[in-house]
Amino acid sequence: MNRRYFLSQSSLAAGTLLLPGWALAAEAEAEHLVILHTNDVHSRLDPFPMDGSRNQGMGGVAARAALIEQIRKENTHVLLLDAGDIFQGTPYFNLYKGEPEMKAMQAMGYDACTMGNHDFDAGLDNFAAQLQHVKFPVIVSNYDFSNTPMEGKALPYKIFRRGRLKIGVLGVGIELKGLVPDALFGNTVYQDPVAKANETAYYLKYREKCDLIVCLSHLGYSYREGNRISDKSLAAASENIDLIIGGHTHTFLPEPEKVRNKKGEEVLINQVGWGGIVLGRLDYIFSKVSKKNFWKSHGIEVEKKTVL
Amino acid sequence: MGLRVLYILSAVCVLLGCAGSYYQPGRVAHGRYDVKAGRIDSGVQALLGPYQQAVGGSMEAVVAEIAASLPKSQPDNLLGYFMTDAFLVQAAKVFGQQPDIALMNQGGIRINNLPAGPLKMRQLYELMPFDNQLVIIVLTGEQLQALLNHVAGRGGWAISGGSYQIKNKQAVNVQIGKQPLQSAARYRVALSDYTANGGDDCAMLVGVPQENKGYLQRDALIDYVKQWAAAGKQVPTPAAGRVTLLPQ
Repeated sequence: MNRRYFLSQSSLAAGTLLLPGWALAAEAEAEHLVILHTNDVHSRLDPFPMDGSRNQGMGGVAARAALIEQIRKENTHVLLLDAGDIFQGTPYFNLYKGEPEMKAMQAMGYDACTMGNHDFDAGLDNFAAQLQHVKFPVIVSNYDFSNTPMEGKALPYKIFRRGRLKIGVLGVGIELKGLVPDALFGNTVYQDPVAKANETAYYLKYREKCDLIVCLSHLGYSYREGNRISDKSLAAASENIDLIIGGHTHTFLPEPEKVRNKKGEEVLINQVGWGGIVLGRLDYIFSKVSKKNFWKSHGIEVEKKTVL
Repeated sequence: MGLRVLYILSAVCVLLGCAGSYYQPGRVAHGRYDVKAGRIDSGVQALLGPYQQAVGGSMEAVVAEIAASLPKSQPDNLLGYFMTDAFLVQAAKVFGQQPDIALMNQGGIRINNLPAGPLKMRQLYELMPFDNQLVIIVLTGEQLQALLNHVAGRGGWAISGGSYQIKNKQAVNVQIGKQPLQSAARYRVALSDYTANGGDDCAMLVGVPQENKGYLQRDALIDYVKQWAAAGKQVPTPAAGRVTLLPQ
């Protein structure tokens, strides 16, 4: 789908063929970015078995790969991201410890992932070893992996260039103590995800001048306990993050949620359940702005479901 | 000439926005694709082939027959009761002494339902994918009450060998066997090493001595259902009502 098609689709969905004036005027200078995302796939390489259960026939890497390939054909600028818990949940993992999961993600052309708590399940040395099968980075900003098998094997952030856009991606992982057995996370030091996310996002915005800042998170969407850190509380306490792609709580969000950050700006949160049943998609339309306006806060208009 | 090249270069630069171009996201549209049967990527399918063959061979074997659908729910939880029944029966055999109760942490139950009918090995792996071991700990009634209060605060976990109710995030009317919990008594509790080591924020269990025979919880499930199959019987449906919610 090219940009023109996308725009006409969105205007149709909005019930009018009249595009907002700025969109027409700016179209020549606009950029269109497609973000595709998964979370908590949990070793679901095959579709769910046909056993009468709710998810039967859904998911599977071969079907997901075909979908992604089609979207790549229709769009120039695509980012494919995963928010962790790639491992654990089917006999594939018991037998092969994540090798086919990683190979499949590489074949699908994932651009980055973060780490979930279950990615520690066969030990950090195993996760580190399975990275030999992938070329994309593992992005975690708040785990200090010094003196662990993951030392030097994860990035705190990565900048992706898509056309004229610079997209900064950072990542935050969940508190491991009390969730992951001590022996599995070893010397990994969990650091405050809010502080680390803000520090990294500040760098990406003000030093690197990224046009969009995405946080991959395995913190979980929201919790009843008010003081527990989640994507919602991270969003509210954040600065300079535009989008949080979440995981851990296996939440199927019907649409991305808007939360106001510390500066009163809008942050989006999205999460697409688990098991590779759903592939999430966000289409961002960027307009060119002056250097002066780049630093000013701006709202984001979330359209009705339009891209499918 | 040189100026001309510079001019063209800078014009190209402006067009491509290679220097000093700034963008802001103004609009975002969203969608979700249901990943379902249809077109598949043959390359990825081929990559999976050898793994699929190996997994399929051993995992598609039918090991038992489930009498009635066992759904996961909370707090009253047939799937959880099935698991804790298996742990109670198997722990008695493996440890040579009958535990008083077995508990199963809700987060460790990894599928939503075991449907009635043939049960495949694969389903038991999906139900309990973790290589967690079944361990025995001995708790005083007071310690057990504290553990059950913690568990009640998390929505309630399945139990075998006892029952309790949840009121204001506390465990009340706790029965072990057919008797009310006695705070001075000592109880043998079968649960996972994950929980006994403080998983799911069970910090109160850290340091409590564990009996561990290196017996996986998944193997307990497998051995339990195979015994029913060997006896020519379906895996029975546990009675509901062991863990219930009281109005606040």
